[in-house]
Amino acid sequence: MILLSLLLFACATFVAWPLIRFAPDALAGEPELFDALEERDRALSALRELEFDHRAGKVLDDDYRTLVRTLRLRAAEALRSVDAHA
Amino acid sequence: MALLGSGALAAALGLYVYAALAGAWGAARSARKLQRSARNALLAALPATATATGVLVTAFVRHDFSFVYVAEHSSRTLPFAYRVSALWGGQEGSLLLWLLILASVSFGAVLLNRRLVDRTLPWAVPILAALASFFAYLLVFVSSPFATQTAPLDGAGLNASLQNPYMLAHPPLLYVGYVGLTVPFAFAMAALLSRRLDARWLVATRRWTIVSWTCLGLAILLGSKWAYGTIGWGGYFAWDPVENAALMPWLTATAYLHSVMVQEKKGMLRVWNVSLVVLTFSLALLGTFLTRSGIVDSIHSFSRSPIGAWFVGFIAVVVLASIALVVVRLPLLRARSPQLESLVSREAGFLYNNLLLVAFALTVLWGVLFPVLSQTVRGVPYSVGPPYYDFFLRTFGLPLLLLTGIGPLIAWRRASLRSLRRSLAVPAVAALAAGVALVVAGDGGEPAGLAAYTFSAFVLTAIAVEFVRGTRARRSLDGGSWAAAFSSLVSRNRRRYGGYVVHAAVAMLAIGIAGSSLYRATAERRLHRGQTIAVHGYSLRYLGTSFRPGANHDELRAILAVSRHGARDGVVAAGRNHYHAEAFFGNAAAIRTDWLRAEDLFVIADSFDVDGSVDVKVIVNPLVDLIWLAGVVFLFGSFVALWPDAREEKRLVRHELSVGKVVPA
Repeated sequence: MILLSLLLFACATFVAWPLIRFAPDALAGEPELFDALEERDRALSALRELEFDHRAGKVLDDDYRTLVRTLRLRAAEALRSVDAHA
Repeated sequence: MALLGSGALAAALGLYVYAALAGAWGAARSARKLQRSARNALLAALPATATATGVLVTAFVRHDFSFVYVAEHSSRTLPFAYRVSALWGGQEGSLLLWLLILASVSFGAVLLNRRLVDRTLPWAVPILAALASFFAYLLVFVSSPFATQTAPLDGAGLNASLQNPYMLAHPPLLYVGYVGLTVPFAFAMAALLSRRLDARWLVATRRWTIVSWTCLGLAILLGSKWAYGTIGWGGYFAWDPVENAALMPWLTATAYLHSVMVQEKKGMLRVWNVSLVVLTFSLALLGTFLTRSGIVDSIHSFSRSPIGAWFVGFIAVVVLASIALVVVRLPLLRARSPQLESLVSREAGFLYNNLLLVAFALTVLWGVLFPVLSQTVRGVPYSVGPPYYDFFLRTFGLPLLLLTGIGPLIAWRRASLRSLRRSLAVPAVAALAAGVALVVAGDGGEPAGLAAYTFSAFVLTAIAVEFVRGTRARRSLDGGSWAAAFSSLVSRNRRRYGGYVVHAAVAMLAIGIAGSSLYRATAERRLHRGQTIAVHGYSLRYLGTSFRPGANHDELRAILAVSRHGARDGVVAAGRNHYHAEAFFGNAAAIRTDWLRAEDLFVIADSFDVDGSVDVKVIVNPLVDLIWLAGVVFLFGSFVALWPDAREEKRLVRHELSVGKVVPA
């Protein structure tokens, strides 16, 4: 009974504590900026991946030249989007 | 003691219900104090649940038969390890173990992800709590492990099939696998509710998904090993409904682990991934239901119980609510989702692999449910046997195996046919060489076996090629030694290269399954002392019987001298065990392993007669040990993939901090 009472008391205190003492901050974010940062990281990562695949011989020179152009444009667009939202 | 256990369980239920209700209210109203209080309630439920579990384990260890559950699942002669594992020997204890694991993973997921998914977490807490509330409710009101009685002198004992070392690990691993899938489900639903459908919930749940998937995979393998040694029919997987129940969520989780990479890399397949998470979790719940309800006939269903209806209702609510939420959020999920650029690309490969895995899981599901539906709707009993499953294993499994080799060789976005030809050349030659060698050796008679072997050769060569080419590329980019380049290659992308090791395990598994199921040799006859039985180069001479009494069980064995190609090769002892408290006879097969050939000599002895004669069945299982070795490789690959790499999480937290503004209350 003592153990059970201690358990119940400890749980109740832990649960009630934020209601009594916690001074919360409300978070307000900008999802558009987060998405833009995500898109930028994805585009840069795709460029790195392409470079690696090219070196590994999975992507031939002709394909590489076509793809790298597209990916660079995408990365530049993503960077502009980050700047626009920042 | 019982009061402490039931009180702790009731407290856990109260905490879960509070966390679910207060958490949902707090999340809907953005009431941060209430959100934090609900989170604390979810965290506090772990010590409460652990206390209840501790009470039950202590009762088992101390032979406290005043607990009905302890009396029904243990005895005084039961060895210590099995007294602890008796916790999951019956329904109530299994549910308690389930709840303890759920409390633990909820605790870990909430604490570890509090920074990464600060805006999604308020919804994840009530979802995790609501799911836990169901199990806590069952334990408190429907199926309590803390019912007491006047203690009898001894207990009824533990099901003899469970008195096996593999059963110490198989059920907990299985439950960690099932329950761990709650985390991706809860965070996916939370992401939908909070409208935060970016990569954060994927990163937050990635490690939990891999851990659950690894545990589920290992549990299936350990269960197979247990069945192999204990059931005594020489096989390891019989497409039993309960075995299938574990296989289905593993298959869909495998699909998810692949398709989630497409979403992370390209932002595609959002609807598909959320749907896969829902399907996987629903199948995990179905697995628990099938195991615990006794609705299907299975050697693994250790109890029949009244909780079936509760489970059906619970699964229905989870499935319908999840589908409704996905449908409501479809416009958000579909927004800015790019299209597939080419049908010959890594992402397209993942898509094909997903379709095959899900199709296979659904055909298995139909095989499991059809007998139940047939009995319920038409009143006609019907069983779906191995030929059905074997057909679909070949139909979907062989192309999947080939894709396991092809996928990693294709570049992301788009691959030209010329580059594809160049990438596939070496593995294709290796596969062809393996096929020709098999045909020349006279093992090409089984088309499915031949395909499995050649495809596996393709996969293993493709993996080796990938490591070599990757190391070379890394070295050309970074410089340094070959060893440094290899180390950098793996550490930069542990998930990918750990995944390749897992692919190697899959190829080994395929070889093991094909060898042991298509090329096995069997002989069976009744032997008198001095007589022999011969099969596939082995000859076994029956020397006589031995009997060894024990406190927990007696052992009766037939002793057979083994010779191989004429040379003596020791003795084996196969027979039966008699468990006293349980009044049960169990098989004790003799298994002689030749690790060099990965081959087992499997001997079963039964129907002992007073004249000394015995029925002996001898099976030679070629390559079967590759299946168990594949388990070790699988575990190693999973460890590589799981090895902590906080770069991705730190990157997302950095983004979160750079976009979030703190507004004082």
